[in-house]
Parts: sequence; structure tokens; C-alpha cells
Amino acid sequence: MSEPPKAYGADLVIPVLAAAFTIYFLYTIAGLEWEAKANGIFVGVALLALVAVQVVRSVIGIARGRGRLTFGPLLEPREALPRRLGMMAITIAFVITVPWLGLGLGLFIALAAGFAVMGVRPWRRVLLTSFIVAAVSTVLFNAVLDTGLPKGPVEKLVERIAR
Amino acid sequence: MTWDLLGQLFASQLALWWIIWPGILLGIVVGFLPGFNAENTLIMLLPLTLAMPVEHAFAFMTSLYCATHLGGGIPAILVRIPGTPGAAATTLDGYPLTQQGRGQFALTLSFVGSVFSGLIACVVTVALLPWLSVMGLYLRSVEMVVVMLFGLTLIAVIAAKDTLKGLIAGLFGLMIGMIGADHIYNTPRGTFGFLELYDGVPLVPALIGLFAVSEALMMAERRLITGGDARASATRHDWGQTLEAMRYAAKHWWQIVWTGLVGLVIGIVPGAGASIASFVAYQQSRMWSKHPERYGTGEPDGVIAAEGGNNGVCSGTLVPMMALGVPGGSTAAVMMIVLQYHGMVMGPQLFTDNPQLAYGVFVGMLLSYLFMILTIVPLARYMSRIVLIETIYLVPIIILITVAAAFSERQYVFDMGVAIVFGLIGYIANKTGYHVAAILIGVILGPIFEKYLVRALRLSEGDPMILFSSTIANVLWVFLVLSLLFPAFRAWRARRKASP
Repeated sequence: MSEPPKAYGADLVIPVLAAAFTIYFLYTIAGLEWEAKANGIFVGVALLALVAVQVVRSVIGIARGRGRLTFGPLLEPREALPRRLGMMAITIAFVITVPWLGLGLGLFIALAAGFAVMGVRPWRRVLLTSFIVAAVSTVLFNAVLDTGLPKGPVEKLVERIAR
Repeated sequence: MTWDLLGQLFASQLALWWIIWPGILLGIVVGFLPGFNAENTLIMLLPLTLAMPVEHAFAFMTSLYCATHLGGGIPAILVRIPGTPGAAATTLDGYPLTQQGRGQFALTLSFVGSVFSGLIACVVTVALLPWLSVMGLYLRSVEMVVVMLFGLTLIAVIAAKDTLKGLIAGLFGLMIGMIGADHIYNTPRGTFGFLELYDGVPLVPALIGLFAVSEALMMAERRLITGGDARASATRHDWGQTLEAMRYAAKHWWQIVWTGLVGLVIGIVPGAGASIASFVAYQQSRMWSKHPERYGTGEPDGVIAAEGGNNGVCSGTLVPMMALGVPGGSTAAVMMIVLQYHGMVMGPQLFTDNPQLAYGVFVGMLLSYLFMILTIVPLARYMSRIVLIETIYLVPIIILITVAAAFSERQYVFDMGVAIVFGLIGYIANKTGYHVAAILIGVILGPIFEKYLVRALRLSEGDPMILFSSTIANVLWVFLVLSLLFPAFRAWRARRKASP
């Protein structure tokens, strides 16, 4: 049985990211004393050389018809894509709003949205599960471990009642 | 040390069971939660440990420390999220076992491997302490540079199926680890203008992103972690897999012994730590195995090796602190603060002035391990059932709670964003065969590597040939080259055997 064609585009994403970051890093150390840039040059040059080898390997692979410059594996399976993108959007929104909403309320809303995006039904289960997980996490992070996560209206209300 | 003293130490440490047990339970919980580790927990508990008598404080701290190493393996096996960086190697074979419906087996194996390798490392430490303590002195900056490159190369070779991809991932991690102000002039480098990155890339958000967020995104494509027969096996509610794992561990006792010793030796080297130890032990186990091709697909010896190396480190880290007054790691540094607060002077005189405390630490550790196995093994059967929860519940819980936990290390909301960025890098890496463990170890080693490299180069006034100036370093360079060539040689030999 023949191997499926390789997606060289997807294979090159990490090397391209690595090379771009390395070039940026080398740019930021250009005018510094040698002690501040020795390590960057030592590792950066080795990394750029390895990335070059990977690029050459991919070009040879494409030329010999072993694969194409596609990004398929990053997006597959397609039916999971909305769930993944939805979860990332919810997580970013959670991080942006947590300083105002606080951990308890922020986590409850984000979890409820996350469960809904993932396909949990009925809504009563979505809300109940989100409430339990958010409440336990808030107690664990804020009361037991005292991590200093932002306090929002819910935490402030509980504190006022406790006083 | 006389037998009388040993007996007394056992009796006195056994009397501290009431403080060892809470330490173990807290350590397991802390190890389980990504974002928390022994170091930050001990810092949070400083007011408590400073108020205790010194023997009580040390018994509590060491039991908590050892238990975090064991606890870190639990999520690594069940959901491929290492609770601590030292458990990253455990994911390689532990998670595939879980996917095969053998989570209970893998957990028990990891507990037994962890506990007995920790016990063996303790016994060897007590017996050889005066000799072990001077070992770290032979490793100077030049040797440390090569040790770290060697460790990174091993990880790159082991973790990725493709060595080139593994090396790119490892060096990419090392580059990311260099972000921040340099050690000599404090000039910011590669920070993208973010003040929050001046101290370097925070490790906890990097760990959470690379393992937890990326793995949860991978999970989103299936409804269950296990499926088919594996699910039926995971659903079975008996002690079968626990007993099978105990029999397996007893049969492979040698694997536990020598991976524990690998961990002990690496633990003594300041800065190397559990993450390197577990990968080196794993690589050695694979190299000497009759079935190296099974590693990474759910090989039980892989779980034992990773956990053995990870837990052998516990005793090793304390050796330079006790014998030389040089903490072998950040957790040991916190313990040293407590001891110094109580007026203890670390160094060789500790063993003559206060042998009860010096040796008692290791005897206490030994008892902690015994308590640990009694506490944790019966729970494996119940813990393994987490894989029966559908991913539609697990994915939001894992992503959102671990991202919230990313805040805990430095208390910056910015770090939660860092976890998301690393989550995306980890997802792409997972999908394309660039192993996230190699990136993570690079990020961890980046700042330490730079410190030793710059120190070595300053000694030679910038001449890179200093890296080849010592016998130990040169031997390590040879091993490094051999470890790079070995996979190619094995593939060539396999091809030759296969061809008619």
C-alpha cells in the first residue's frame, strides 16, 4: 500500500516560526556586548541551519512527488474545526474579561459557552455543570491556594456577606 | 553512621507520621495540578514551616516534595498533561496505555516505579553521602553546557520520530528560553516590547500551553479518550490491572533500580533536575531494551523508566544542599531558607554536629515513600475512570482551568495569554510531529544554558574551544554525537536485515 502524500506546508510551520523568531532575536541583540549575544548566535545559527535542511528536504520531497505544499493536517478533521476555533475564542475572551468579571463569574460564563460549543445539552446541564466547576475552582484557587486571581462582583459580594 | 543511630532515626521519623501524611496528600494534589509545584507551595506555606520545630518542618517539606513528583505523573498518564515538567517523559508511554484502556495498569506502574526508585535512591544516598556530595564539584560550567546539550539531544532523538524535527523543536525551545534580559548587562532581548517578558518566559504558562491547552484541542476531535475494546477494559471495575502492574514491576525490578540511580546522579548536578533525569532514564531504557520500537506506543518499561528517573532526583537534589550548602534546585533553596531560619549551618559539619537531622532527612524521605505507596495504589482503580468522561466536558474544563492556573506563578493576567500562545504552538507541533516535550525542555534549559555558556566563554575570553577543554566534557561530546548517530545506525541495520 502506498503512503498518503505528505503535507509539507504544515510540516514547515514550526520551522518557519522558529526561523522568524530567531531572526527577530538576532536583530534585537545586534548592537549588544558579546556576552549578551553569544548564546543567541550559538543556538540561533544552529537552528537556522537545521531549518534550512528541513526546507531543502521539503523541496526535494515536493519535487519527487512525495507530497504537496498543503496545510491539511492542521485543520483536520474539518468537523472539529468549529469546536476548536470556538474554544480558542472563548478562552481569549475569558482572559480579556477576567480582570473585570473575576474568576468565579468569568469562569462560569466561559465554561457555559465552552460546553455549549462542544455540544453539551440540555441547557440545564450546561448551566449546572458550569456552576459546580466554577464554584469549586474559585474556592480552590482563591480560598485554599490564595493565588491572587482577580476578584469580581461575585467574590466581592461573598466577602461582604462573610463580613 | 551506626545501626543504633539508624534505628533511632527510624523511630523518631515514624513518630512524625501525623505531619508526613498531610505533606504527602498535599504534595499529590499539588503535583496533579499543572501550575503548582513543590517550590511555590513551600513558599506559600513558609509561615507554617518557619513556625514548626526544624525536624517537623523538614519531614513535612520532604514528604510534600517527593509526593509532587509522584502526583505529576497522574495527569500525564490519564490526559497527557504532565502535572510537573519532570513528568513530561511519562506521557510518552503512559498516555498510550490509557488510550488502550490500561490506565489503572499505567498508574499503578508509575506509583510503584516512583516509590521504589525513590526508596532506592534514598538508601544509596544514606550509604554513599560523603562521596556523592563531592560529585557536583567536578561539573563546572564547561561540562554543564555539554550536559545540557546532551540532555536536549537525547530528548530530541527520543521524543520525535524524526530526529531533525526533534532537534528543531529542542533548539526552538532553547531560543524561546533566551527571551528576557541577559545575565551580565540586563539588556532586554526578544521581548517583543513586553515588560512582562524581561524576566524571561514564565515556565508554568509554557508547560500549561504546550501540554494542557494543545492536548485539549487535540481531544476536541474525538468524543472519548478511549474507544471500543479499550473503553470496555477501562470500564471494568476490579483490581485486575493493579495486581498485574505490581507483578510486572516486581518482575522488572532491575529497571526500577537503575533508573532511580540515574535520577539520583542527575539530581546531584545543580540545575539539571527531574525533566532531564526522566528523559535520560527513558532513553537509556529504550536503548538497552530488546523491543525499542514499542517505546512511545504504550511500553510499560517506558513508564517505569520515566517515573524512576523523575523520583530518583528527589534525594539527589538534597545532597549538595546538605553536604556543601549549595541547593541543587529551587525547591531545595526554599528548604534551605527554612533550615537557615532555624540556625542550621549547611555543609560538611552538619553531619558531625547534627547527624540526627542530616541523616534523618533521608530516613524521613524513605518513610514518606512507604506511606505514599500505601495511600496511592488503592486509588489507581478509581482515578483511571476519569477517561470515561466525555471530551465535550473535559475540553472546556482542561483549557479554562489550566489557563486560569497559569496566573498563579507570577500573578500576571499576561501569563494566561502566554499559555494560549504556547497552546497554539503546541497544537501545531503535535499535529506535525515536532514533539512538545523537546520544546518545553528547551524553554526550561534556555536560561540555565546561557548562564553556563557565558560563564565558560568569559573564562576563555570568548574562545569557544574551551568547550572542548576538559576530559569529562569531551567524553560527553562523544556520547552526544553517538546519540545522534545511533538512530540512523539502527534504521540502517533494520533496513539491511529486511532486505533479502
